[in-house]
Amino acid sequence: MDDLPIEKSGPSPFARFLRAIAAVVWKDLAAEFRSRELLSAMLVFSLLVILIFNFALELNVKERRDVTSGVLWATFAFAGTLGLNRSMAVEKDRGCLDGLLLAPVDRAAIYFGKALSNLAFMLIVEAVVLPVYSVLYNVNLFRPGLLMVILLGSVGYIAVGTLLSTMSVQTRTREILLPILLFPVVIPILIAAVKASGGYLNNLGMEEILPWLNLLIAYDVIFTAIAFMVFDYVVEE
Amino acid sequence: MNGLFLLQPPPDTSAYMIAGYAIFFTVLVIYLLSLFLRWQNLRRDLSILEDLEDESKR
Amino acid sequence: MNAKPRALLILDVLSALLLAAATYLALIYAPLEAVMGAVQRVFYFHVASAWIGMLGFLAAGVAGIAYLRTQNLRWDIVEVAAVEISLVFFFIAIVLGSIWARPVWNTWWTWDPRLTTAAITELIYIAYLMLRQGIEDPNRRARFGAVYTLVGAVSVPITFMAIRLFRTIHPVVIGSQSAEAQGGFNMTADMKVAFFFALFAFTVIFADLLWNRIRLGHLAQEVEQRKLKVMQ
Repeated sequence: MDDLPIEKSGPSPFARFLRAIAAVVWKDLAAEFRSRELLSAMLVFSLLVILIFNFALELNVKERRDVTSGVLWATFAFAGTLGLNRSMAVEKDRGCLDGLLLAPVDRAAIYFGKALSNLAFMLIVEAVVLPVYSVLYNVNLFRPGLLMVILLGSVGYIAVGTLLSTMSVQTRTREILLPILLFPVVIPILIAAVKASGGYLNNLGMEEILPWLNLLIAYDVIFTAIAFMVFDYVVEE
Repeated sequence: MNGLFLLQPPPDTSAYMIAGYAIFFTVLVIYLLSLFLRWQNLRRDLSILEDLEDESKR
Repeated sequence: MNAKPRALLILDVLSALLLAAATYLALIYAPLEAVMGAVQRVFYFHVASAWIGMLGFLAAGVAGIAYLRTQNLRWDIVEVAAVEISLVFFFIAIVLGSIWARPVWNTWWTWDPRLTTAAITELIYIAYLMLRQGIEDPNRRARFGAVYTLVGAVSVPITFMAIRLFRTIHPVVIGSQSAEAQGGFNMTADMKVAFFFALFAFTVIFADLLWNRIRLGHLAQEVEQRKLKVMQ
């Protein structure tokens, strides 16, 4: 904290901003570790999705190599909407969203706080799904490249997902609406993540993977910026 | 592939062409009709609302 | 506001005449394409419909940004109008594309980047309409709508690039390259006349439809406001 420029009257606006983000993240994580509703639902759901794919796709040794990245990303995408929906619905139902909005913090800090805690939940689920999948299908998924793709993909997915789930919980149809809003706009993420993950799993050369990594990074940057700019309009009363 | 086609007279694909234009005009007419019907319904609603307002004033 | 303005009436008539002329040029004036036969004539209206879809897509994006900047509900009405017209004409373009693809490529659907992106845009716009339907408050509806149009407007070009990249790295039997080689043709001068006239005619038709739809939006807004007033 020492290297942050601190004014005499108090912490600088940026430090206050960071502190507000940390407060939102801490609130979510603490609440979650008490109830464990969200994480357990996401985890069981992901394992069930893998189970369904196992029988739907006949995951034998030969085909497994080609479909693993697709199965993983489909699982993450479905579990992700479940988590996003729940995380925002809880805020809305307990009146936390209104409380947060009344708090004298920058709205953008609320967005980043919610996005970071959503990202944390998603990464935890992925951290459980990966070893389970590795054991079940005898593929080593713990490769640095693949982990990086999963992180980049999750960041983009959550950046848009947090924005859209904030909108969808405020509509009449609520939970039903989120996947319908989210999936068509995260298609680039899913395409790029599936191709890049598949590239790492099949040991393809970097020249085949790099375009997809670039796409993921570009998407992450663009949509984090957009969500940051428009979040105000989504929570305004 | 192109060369193979060129040896023959152009295939008769006019059924597809007719289907295409039929669908185009059908969809267009349906859309125009929906615009017209929505306009009519709104006009009717508006006149009912105007009557209601007049009554409440009296 | 209820009597149609004279300029709009003129535009209505002009659009109808231009549509008739474009149909004549496409069906009768343009020469028969040697390889594909009559079905190639679908091409003129297919591209022109997709062109309207694009115009609507751009108009919706611009109106969305304008709404967020000004918070003026007038822009919201423009946005819905543009989305709706784009939805209708992308639908037409996709169906006509399928009809063209069937005899030429022997399949109803190719995962061509343009066709797929148009289909995804349709899904985004259907989601947009569902989002709006679930919100009562006009201002919130407009804000959410504008935000979602903006997200869509940015994601669609990225989707297009992603799908094209997908195709170039992994060519399939009917990939973009072989498909273009097979379905492509050189336009003769007469074909060009029909093609560019169709584009021009459809641009005018787009303006006409947009204007009419915006008027409908204003009427709907008035009815909604009166309803609220009566209920109070």
